[in-house]
Amino acid sequence: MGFIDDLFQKKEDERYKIPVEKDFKKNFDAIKEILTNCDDIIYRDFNVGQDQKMRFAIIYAEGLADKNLINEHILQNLMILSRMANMNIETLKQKIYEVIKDGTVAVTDLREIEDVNVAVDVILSGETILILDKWDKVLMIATRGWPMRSVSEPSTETVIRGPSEGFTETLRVNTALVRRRIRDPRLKIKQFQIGRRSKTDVAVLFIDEIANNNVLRMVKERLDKIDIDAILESGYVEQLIEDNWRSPFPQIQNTQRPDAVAAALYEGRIGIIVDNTPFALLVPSTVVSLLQSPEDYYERFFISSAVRVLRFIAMALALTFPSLYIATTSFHPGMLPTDLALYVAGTRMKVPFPAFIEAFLMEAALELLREAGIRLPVPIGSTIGIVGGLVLGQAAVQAGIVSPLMVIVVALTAMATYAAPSYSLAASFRLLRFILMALAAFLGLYGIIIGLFVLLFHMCTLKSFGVPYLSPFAAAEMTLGDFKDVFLRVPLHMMRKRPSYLHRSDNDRLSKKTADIFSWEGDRNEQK
Amino acid sequence: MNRNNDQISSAQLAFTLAITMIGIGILSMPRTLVEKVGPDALFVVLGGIVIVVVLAFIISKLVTKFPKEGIVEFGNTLLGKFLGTVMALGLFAHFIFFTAIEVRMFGEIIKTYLLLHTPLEVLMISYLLTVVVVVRGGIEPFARMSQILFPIILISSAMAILPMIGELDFTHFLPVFRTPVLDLVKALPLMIFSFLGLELILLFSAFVKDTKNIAKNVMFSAGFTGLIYFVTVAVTIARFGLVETTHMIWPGLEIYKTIDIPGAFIENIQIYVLASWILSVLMTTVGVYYGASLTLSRIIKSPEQGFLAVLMLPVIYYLALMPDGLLQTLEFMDLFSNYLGTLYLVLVPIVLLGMSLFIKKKGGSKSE
Amino acid sequence: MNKLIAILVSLSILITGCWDKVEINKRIFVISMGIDKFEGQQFKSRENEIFPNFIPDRYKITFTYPNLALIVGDGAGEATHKITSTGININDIQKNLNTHLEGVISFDHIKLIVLGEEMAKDEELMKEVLDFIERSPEIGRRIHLMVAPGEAADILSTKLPQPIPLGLYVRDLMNKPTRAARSADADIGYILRNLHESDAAIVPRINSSKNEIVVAGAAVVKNYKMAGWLGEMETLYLMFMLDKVDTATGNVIVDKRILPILVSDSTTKMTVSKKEGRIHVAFNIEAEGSITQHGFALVGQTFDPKYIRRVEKDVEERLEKNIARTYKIIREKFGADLIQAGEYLRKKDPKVWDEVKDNWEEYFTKSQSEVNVRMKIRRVGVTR
Repeated sequence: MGFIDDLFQKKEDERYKIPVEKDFKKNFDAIKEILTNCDDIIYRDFNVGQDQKMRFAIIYAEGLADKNLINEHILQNLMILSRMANMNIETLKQKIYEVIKDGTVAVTDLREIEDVNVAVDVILSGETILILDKWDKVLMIATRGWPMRSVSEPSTETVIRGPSEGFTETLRVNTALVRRRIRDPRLKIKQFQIGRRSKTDVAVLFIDEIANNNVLRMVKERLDKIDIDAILESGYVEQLIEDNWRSPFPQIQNTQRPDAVAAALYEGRIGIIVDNTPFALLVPSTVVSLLQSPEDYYERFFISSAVRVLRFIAMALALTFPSLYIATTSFHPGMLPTDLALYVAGTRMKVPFPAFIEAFLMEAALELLREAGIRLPVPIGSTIGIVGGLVLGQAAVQAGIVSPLMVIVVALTAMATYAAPSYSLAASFRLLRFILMALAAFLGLYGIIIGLFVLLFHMCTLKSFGVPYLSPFAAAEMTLGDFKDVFLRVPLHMMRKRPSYLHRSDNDRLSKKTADIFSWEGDRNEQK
Repeated sequence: MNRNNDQISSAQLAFTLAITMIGIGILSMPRTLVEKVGPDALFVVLGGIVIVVVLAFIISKLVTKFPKEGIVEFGNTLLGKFLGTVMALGLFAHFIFFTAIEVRMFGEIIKTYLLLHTPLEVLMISYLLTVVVVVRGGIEPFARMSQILFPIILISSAMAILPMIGELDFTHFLPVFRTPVLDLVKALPLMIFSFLGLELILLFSAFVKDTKNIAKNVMFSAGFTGLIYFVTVAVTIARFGLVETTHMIWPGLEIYKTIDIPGAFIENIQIYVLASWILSVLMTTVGVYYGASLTLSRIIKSPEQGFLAVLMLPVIYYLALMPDGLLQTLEFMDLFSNYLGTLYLVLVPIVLLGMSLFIKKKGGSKSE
Repeated sequence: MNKLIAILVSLSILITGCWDKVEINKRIFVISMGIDKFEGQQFKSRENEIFPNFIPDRYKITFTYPNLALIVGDGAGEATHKITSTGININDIQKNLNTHLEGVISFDHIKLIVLGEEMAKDEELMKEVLDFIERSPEIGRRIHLMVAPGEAADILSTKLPQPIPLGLYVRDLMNKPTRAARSADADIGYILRNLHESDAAIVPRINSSKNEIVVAGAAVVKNYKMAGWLGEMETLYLMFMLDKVDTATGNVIVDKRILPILVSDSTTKMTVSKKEGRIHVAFNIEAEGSITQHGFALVGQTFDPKYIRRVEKDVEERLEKNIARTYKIIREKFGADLIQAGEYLRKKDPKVWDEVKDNWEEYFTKSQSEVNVRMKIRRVGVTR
């Protein structure tokens, strides 16, 4: 416990502290001065008590704070109901603040604040500040509430079997979605703000005793080092804390699915949720984790394993298929069976370009199509698909600019690319494909091999938060157990341990009892 | 968590050694063996395996005496500063020649089978550049790459052999033991030199975390490599017969031309095997090149191993261009393995082990 | 900075490179090749007078390569294009043809090499051709080498009924599972191996009429040149000796009725030994087969074990006699060790081999043979 406390120690605010003073007017004006020209801030001062002698004020940001809540549970209580109280009672007079805090304001979260700067921060986060006369503190009342998108199905990472909840733009909702899946007190959610101006809330999620402390420390250290004016999306955080920015590979996984985050946390990984974006980050991530989909674990293991294998093949295709086409057609026609080779040669007879140009043109056209399809509104987007895919492809083939086989190659490659569960990984593969194509055009198969060799080398040097990117393939101590969840997804009752490359204290996933009795066939109870 | 750089496990060491040992030699090995001993080639392979496993044991015994130290360091302790440095320089030369020969042979084979018109220089430079990129990465990525590539190469080559199995004729190994024993013994060194690359333990042992497991893993590695050689020789001779095996320069590659899988998507399996062989030779060259750069950086006590590797590139390139043709390259290869190979794979480890035992005894008597 | 230089260098290599790049449609895939001996008139040219040390042309080579347009389905004309040229050797002709053809000649997909009879009988040329095939990194070892009576060029001119290149046609013909055993089962790998090990091999014979191709019978190659022909039946029995029969049909006469017997499975064990100064070769053949036709309305006979045994006996006797005769032809007429008896001795009985290897040909021509056939008729069709 000590480790976590130390790690997430509150830092001193470096700004000059403006203490809250006893004078109501001074406090009110101090805040007003900082927030000058901010027309969305509402100031409301009013008198309280039977004799209307005490002067209070509330300040909140319109649109961020829940107006109903302020009206009904703060203003009504303070202005109307408080008149019934006899302010002359000596005890009441002395403990006025305690009474207000503990008895009047009917709101769940209250906090005392001693610094004007902090008060301004909380106003801008949507809370309400209550300034009380002759008290050297101001009261923060939790009134955050703004119109937000309800929890809906994520647009990426759709699954057939599994929950259709996705993260929203609100951090608190997102953490709640995760917490609902992990009712363990050891699920820790540590929250802090990043961004000098944006002050974006960032929450680090992990399960104590399962998560690796080294990774946790690295995450915290790297997050602390970020000194930027604004964090608009988790992509900012991702790019600022990743291990190697030169690498084409994403070293941090992003997901919109709370079940994916929960599963990762149970594996001992660490989640980072950033406010204002539905994309959560998961570290450390490996190639294998980027090729897994939450659905793999929901379906029965036969189909999941088959899909896994298919996905690995798809990735290999996505990376090398066009370059292999180039290598075979312009360098080593002997690689193809005779009948196919003759057919390819025949279809290419009228094609005026070398295979490389042909492949490059088609791949570029595909990328263009994809980009255009994303930008356009949905109804037109599908039209683009039809126009680009069918009309253009057909026309190009009929005009003899492109061979029909090339169209098949490009289409297959595109399909294979989008079979990757991780969009970022697929994107990096798309880029590398072009490099391999150039190498193939230069040295044929030998060029492809050189390219793949260097690529493999790069992946071998890559680490994500201290974990080799290619784990479990290239761990110093290979354990067979880690391969249960790579090419295949073995039945759940056989996955008794968590992946070992993350090294943690509590490694048992499934109790031995369940694993041992795992054959429900011939269950005695059934016979009765 | 593998946070410390430059540390590998002894299992990883075994992988790197295996992938380094399997290189150019495997393609021509069936020919050279059959030339010498005819149908008894397999016994030579077996004999070679036994000897090399023993050698592996000797070398690992030696290096386990000096954990976290490479041959340059403990060579200095055992032989004295001057002799130690001379020995280390020799080792450096050994690795440099080794790399140059690998590079040249690679170029020749690619030019014969894959890219007939591409200039040898382009092939060799692109090859060397690729190798240097990996060499600069240090031991850890190299070890990981071996770990990943070794199974891939092994499985793909084994799969390519499968369609042949029905047509193998093992009567080609008859008659058994009709070759004079002296010839068998004379052929043994040939076999042992196929395991060149094993001497890299002398350097790589410095990186190994679990020193006590080195002997076990390295012996397994040598044995397994031997097994691969055994299968290659067996399959090649069983497919080609004795006479034809001796006719081909690289029967280990030519063998895949005899495969015909009608209706399959791929026809010329040879090219695919060649692809996996390229990966294997790349790894061999990386291993040896890395060995050279490491030796040099240790001798001059410079941490700039990656930079030294880049400096060595022109030297190796020049050396690789020296032979006139394939024939001379093969000659150079024989010369090289006969002298430097014997020295560093066999003699140096044995002498050093003897010295270390002797010095230990002396030291022991002194202290008591 | 270093990286920039590296990138620039590699880019410049990339742009200027591509030495081996030849687009697939710019290649000429030779599918079949016919090699004939050329003894015609030497072309007296002015250059021959300038360079008096010229070597006369010795080969006439015919290449056929497919009409690609036809394969894709648009275009008309012949299935293959044919080009013939003469030259000193194959490489010479290949280079010569570069002045004729727009594409690059590639042997990657060659499927059939036909040798003319005259060519095959010339030891010098035969050796050259065999070495060319063995040495080429492009030519695979599963393609078919055949000998044609007459000119190889005539075979390549055959118009097949389907528009399919001859080489592919022959490949399919040779690789089908019900291939008749009357054509020798020998691809280039097998031929080369046997020539190396025993100095003798059989090469399938290819013959053509106007628009038909027949692969049947075999040429006997001994000492690197063709020694003569084996007929279809001789080839069949030789295949029995070599244990290379998958299916074969034969007819027997039992009770004056001609019965076709389908031999569906046959294994041969050959043993070679030396008895009383002579080489003794024994073939033990076990074959399985079925009766595919019998007389109409003769119910019950094929269900009679005694009758079946008689049929079997007849098959056995016929096979034994015919194989023995074929053996006699092989050893007396050709003296060629096509059954690899010498190799057998070398492997299994090296002592005997040491005695006989110097005069092996003599020993072989005088050798004895013994054939034992065990025939089992397993099936008789669906009627009794």
